[in-house]
Amino acid sequence: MTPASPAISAPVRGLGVVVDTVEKTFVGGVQAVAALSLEVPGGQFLSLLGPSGCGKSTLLRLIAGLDWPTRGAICFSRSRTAQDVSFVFQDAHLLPWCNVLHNAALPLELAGVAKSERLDRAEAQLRQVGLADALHRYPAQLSGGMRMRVSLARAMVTSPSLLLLDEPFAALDEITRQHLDERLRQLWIERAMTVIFVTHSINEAAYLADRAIVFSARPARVMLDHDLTVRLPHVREASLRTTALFAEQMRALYVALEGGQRA
Amino acid sequence: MKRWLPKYALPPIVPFVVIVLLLEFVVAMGWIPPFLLPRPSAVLISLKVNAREIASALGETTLAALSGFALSTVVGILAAILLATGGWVQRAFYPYAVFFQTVPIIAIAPLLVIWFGFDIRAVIASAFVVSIFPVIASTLSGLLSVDPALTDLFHLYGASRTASLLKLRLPFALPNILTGLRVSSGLAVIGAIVGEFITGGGLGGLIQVSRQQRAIEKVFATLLVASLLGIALFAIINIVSSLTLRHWHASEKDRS
Repeated sequence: MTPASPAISAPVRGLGVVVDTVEKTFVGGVQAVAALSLEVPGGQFLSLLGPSGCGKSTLLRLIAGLDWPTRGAICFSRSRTAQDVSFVFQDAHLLPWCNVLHNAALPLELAGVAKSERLDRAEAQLRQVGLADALHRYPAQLSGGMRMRVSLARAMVTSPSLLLLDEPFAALDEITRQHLDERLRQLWIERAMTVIFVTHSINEAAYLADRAIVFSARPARVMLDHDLTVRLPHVREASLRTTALFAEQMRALYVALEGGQRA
Repeated sequence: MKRWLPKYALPPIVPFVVIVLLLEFVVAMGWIPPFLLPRPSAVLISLKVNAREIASALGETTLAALSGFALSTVVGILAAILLATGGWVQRAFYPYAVFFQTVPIIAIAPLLVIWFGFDIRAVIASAFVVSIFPVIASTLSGLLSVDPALTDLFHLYGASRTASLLKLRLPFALPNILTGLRVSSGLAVIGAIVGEFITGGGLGGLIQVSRQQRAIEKVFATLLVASLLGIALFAIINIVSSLTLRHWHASEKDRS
């Protein structure tokens, strides 16, 4: 099998997203999002930070089409297909009866891709996340970090143009989390896709993204829309996290987050 | 095999041997009259003497119980899939599924004979009526407890309803389905024997005739075989369960 098929290694153009005065009120009257507008250009890596329950995950589900806004609209820079958007949940949510290879190939299987092709592509993707030697293991035989890598590989196997992640590494230990952050940033650079990443970690938000938005408590309002590319390099080494420059960016996010919690 | 024997085979064999020896002793001492409870050795002798007759009855009961069980499995799973569509379908039809759980089979067995005749069809119907509810209830419970995030994932990737059913909901429900089948397999044997009480064939018919002849050893020998049939069906479901769930479900992982 080839280490990476052309369909995987070829860069894709990121899907732009426009959130236009979107409001979401749940049954029972809880307003998660109120008249929120923001624009995410194609190919951008955006982190969303905010207090628990402020509506970040709801916004992500609305963008994914897993839920519908009560008011307003979510538009894309071009028409999207089922393969365009991928979602990584807080837990890996793998099919426990399928091995790693078949779990990673699931989106292609649902899209009707021929078996040999989908398994080749899934294997190539699993190699990219460092799971080449765990292809035939079952989710129950994997560590939390490995399960999350499978989840990431499954999301990447369709070469999505929009990748949505909802606190994907929150349950992992710090070192595993940092390794996965680095891998994700590298994948984003290689694929040129749009990434929207929900997190509670200021460190993670600052390291991963080119832009970070800090929300207030529910219903979410934008407290800070921060461009991280001005000060931080495009290619980021692990050692960046220990620099004064990085600490400065984290501080800006922290101040906005604290203000948002009080608001 | 060396480890399997002491771990799984010995624990049920030991109490069985102890109880059999105890019964043998109690009856031999005359503490319980043999017309109420025969000596286990007498039951074994009866089993040997009547082996051909009991084997023939066993064949009939096995065919009827397996047919009823197979019918319950197919109809039960299909009914649960229909009920799992939710909304008014579930509200309208689930109470009628509960009917199968509450119906007194001994009371309706004569009706089944009127409807299907004095042959194996009435016995199969009896096995079916008794064994279908656990399949419906457990399958429905499994289908309704699918991880919502996985449902979202299938929706996101544009999976059809059929794909979601075959690749997500049914595999997710499999442990529940197998639990239902375990219960249902034993009930199918009970249903078949109750049906045979009326139609007169199989192990049920043999128990009736032996009882009327006061051949208590033969009644017990036939009961023993009927129990072994139920245990065999249960064991088959356990093997299927082990083969299909051992890699991923907690109920089987610890055993492998």
